[in-house]
Amino acid sequence: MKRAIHKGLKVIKKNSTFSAFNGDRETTIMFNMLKEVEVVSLKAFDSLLSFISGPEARTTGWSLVSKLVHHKKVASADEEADINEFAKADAALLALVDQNTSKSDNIKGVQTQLESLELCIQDIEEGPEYLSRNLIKTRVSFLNILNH
Amino acid sequence: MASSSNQKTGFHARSNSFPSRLNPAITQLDEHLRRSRASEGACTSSSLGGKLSSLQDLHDCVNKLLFLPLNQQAIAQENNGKLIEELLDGSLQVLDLCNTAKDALLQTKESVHELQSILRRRGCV
Repeated sequence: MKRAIHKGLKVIKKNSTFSAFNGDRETTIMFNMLKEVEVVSLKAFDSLLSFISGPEARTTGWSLVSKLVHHKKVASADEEADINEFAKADAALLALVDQNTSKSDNIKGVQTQLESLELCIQDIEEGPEYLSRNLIKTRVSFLNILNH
Repeated sequence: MASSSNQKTGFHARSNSFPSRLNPAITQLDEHLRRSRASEGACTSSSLGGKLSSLQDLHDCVNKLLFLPLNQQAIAQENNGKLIEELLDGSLQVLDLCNTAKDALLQTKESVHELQSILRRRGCV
């Protein structure tokens, strides 16, 4: 997934200057801005996804969780470890599995980390949902304009 | 001497990047763009919320811009076809990334819930 992101970013960077355009000044500005909006958005999503997936070097992170959740081999194996809430929850789980005990202290620790991870997700999940709806709206109005 | 100063002023006028009388929606978009650019860089859990909300404002602004008849006319002009194509391609990429982020968050949330119920059950035994 990450590779796809970086590929996308490279493509955008290549295209980020406009082909010659002979319109009035304001229209040119508008087009350049719309392009700029896309570049800025791509960068923002890139850093959001990096936040969720953690730095590229850390590949072991989330595999433990998929081991724990046997029946659900989540495709997100490398998507969900991070230095922040994501990583903390993972580290707590790692400790629990390593000791292979069900000491209530350990379990409590994991539960606390999972809770804060949940809160963190709750805080940000609305953003991409809202943006996704908004982006679709943008595309629809764009296509409508072109068809009229 | 006189001619060189003339050239200078001529150049200066041309390099003036913004016409004084711009559509307010465009000025607003520029403002949002500047704000979003300012919050670029790696995310931390505390900066994430602000970053996402400035992105939302930015895209609200784009939609407002597309509602203005004057801009619709500009977009509809046939000689802009290539630019429009580029923009549409780009918007598809952004939408794609946005959905990836949405799905990743959703999956993580589900995994967290599953783990929580596993731990609860274990705790009871």
